[in-house]
Amino acid sequence: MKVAFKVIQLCCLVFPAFVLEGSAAIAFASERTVRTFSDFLAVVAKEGDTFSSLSQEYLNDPSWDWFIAECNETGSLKAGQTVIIPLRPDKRGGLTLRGYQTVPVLAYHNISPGKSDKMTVKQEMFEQQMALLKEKGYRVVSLDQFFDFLEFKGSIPPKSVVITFDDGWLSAYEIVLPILKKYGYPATLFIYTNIIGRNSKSVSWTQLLEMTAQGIAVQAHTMSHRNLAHPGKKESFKEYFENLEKELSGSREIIKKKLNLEAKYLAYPYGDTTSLVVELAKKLGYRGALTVKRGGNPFFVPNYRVNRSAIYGDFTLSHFERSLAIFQEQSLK
Amino acid sequence: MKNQFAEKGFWLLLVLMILSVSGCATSPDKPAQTLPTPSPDKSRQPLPPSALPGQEKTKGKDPLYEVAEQYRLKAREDEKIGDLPGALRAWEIVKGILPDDEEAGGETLKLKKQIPAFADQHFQKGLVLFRSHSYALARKEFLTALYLNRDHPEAIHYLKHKLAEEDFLVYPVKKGDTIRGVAAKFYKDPQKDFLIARFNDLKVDSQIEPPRVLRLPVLDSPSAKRPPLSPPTAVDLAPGKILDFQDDLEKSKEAYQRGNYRESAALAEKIVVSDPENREYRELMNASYYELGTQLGREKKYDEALKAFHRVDSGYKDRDTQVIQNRKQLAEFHYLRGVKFYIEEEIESAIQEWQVTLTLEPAHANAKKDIQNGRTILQNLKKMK
Repeated sequence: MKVAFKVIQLCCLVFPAFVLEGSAAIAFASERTVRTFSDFLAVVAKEGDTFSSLSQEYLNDPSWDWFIAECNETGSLKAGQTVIIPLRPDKRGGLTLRGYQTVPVLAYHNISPGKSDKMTVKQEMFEQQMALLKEKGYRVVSLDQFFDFLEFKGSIPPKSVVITFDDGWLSAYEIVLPILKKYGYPATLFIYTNIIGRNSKSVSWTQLLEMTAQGIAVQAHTMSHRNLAHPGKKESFKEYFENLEKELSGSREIIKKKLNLEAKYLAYPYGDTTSLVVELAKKLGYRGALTVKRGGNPFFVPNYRVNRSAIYGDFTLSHFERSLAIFQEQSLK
Repeated sequence: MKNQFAEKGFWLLLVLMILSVSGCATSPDKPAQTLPTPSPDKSRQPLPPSALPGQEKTKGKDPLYEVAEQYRLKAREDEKIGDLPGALRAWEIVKGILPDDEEAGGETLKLKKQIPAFADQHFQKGLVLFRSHSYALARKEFLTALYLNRDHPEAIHYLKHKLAEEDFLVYPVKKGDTIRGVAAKFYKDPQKDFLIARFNDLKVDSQIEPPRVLRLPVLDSPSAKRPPLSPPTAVDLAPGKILDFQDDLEKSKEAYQRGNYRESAALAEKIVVSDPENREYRELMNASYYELGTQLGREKKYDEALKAFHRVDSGYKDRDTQVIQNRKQLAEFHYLRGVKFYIEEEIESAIQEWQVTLTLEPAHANAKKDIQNGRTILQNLKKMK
């Protein structure tokens, strides 16, 4: 008898899509046909829809567009096309059958309109690099999103990149900020507090305040930019340790006082660290810390030894592109 | 109608015999007759996807029919290449659109059982490799476990923490220890007492007593010169691991003596993870899980028994035979449950059970045959309507 009942249920499917039936409910959202199922929606795209607009409308977040595209195995969207939108998207860890996602964190220092040297990238080149990211479909994500990825808490797009600037150069305000705004890229500035507002090449606290208001994150890079991994020649071990504490907690206190921000991340000066420094950063409540060891970061990289790839002034565009390691192949069968 | 089958045991046996001889769709016996009469000969061959039950009526009318068929193809393809989570996602979409589709229903149920089981197998394999210091291979297994099942906190823990060189040691305080003494012992410098005090929120002259544990930052050279991940050098000094197992060891042994194997196994496993090299701990863990598995097998809890035996090292006593036997028993259990459903005319549930049987024992001839027969019956039923 149960079999017969199920057959009757099956017959219900004969009704056209516009009729309310069985497990599927119908809704009209601005002339768009939508059918709701328990785990997903089936949406018929209308003129002008993009993956991003659908993602915004149905997942309350435009940044899941890549996921919708991936689920439907298509890169383009046409009016009249039926799109499946999973309601509980989850790609934590960026794991696939063929390997796992890695996220490059780029480290810039100074940007200059004229000359370049190793630590100074020419403005023109910087602009080309930012344009390349957009053209080739990379997604710039914030450091917070990146750490959610590292902690297996959140998913980020498969071609994610993080952008950071070290030290506190004036160019961050004068050159970098307008370019980042143009592309809508989030970025993080690691400042060492002693240099801020000290000379004509360094950014001021007022400028930093303006930058944070425009979505640029400011994080810690110690007070003096000393190498944390080695005691000074005349430092006893105890003095060395006390100075480490000052560098790590002092810079955070100053950022708090000047910008009213809680710094959560630390960029080690020269990228150098030791277990003692790592343990101290943990003890003081930093969420993570970054080196300058080149390479992308899988989610399982230790939070206090995050890799960063420095972008140098003598890089060509193809050098730059080679720094964008977004995937590690390894068959996961 | 169910009243006719008060003597279920008898019918179960009878149907079993029939199934293994002739297949149920053609059986003239009573249980099969209670089903609407199928037309067996036409439907021996599996039907092509376009003619799957219920769909011929929806074709051309439901705009989602085509979408469901695309996902069906994707699901089959994913399954073929071993992408089980991908296949499950696709089947769930097919099932959502065509709720009565047997293939989608069966595959979804099968994969939902299979995937966590496979994930756990990879995790266990990873543990064995980790214990034998094959870290790269262990990582691959943990990653595979996590790929299959994103909610596998143990795999995440191993990948994030166990496989990374820890930056601290954990020292369980012993009676008579002082902070200065611990500094002298581990840093070869009593004046580093302030460091221990700082990292443990103590004062240098604070009294310390068991069962307190101290966190000791490793004093090493800069990161570039860090050695590759290596096994702990001494039992009482392991990176990031709790060192005092004595308590858990005693508790575990006690529990074993009392016959509480579940508790002794859990405690022993905790100790083994901290010190994989120690033979005594391993023996205790193996013995505990072995006894637990045997006990559960006797209670006919084959599912749990299988899990317990999986935790025992391969080659320990007759563990490998036990695994095979329990898997067989479990397969048979699901097979019989399928037969019971069949008798109660719940053909779809019966098929699902038989699919689980096949997962556990791919060579189970009756399950294979009965699934086909079940599908045939369903298809014919729908045609009749």
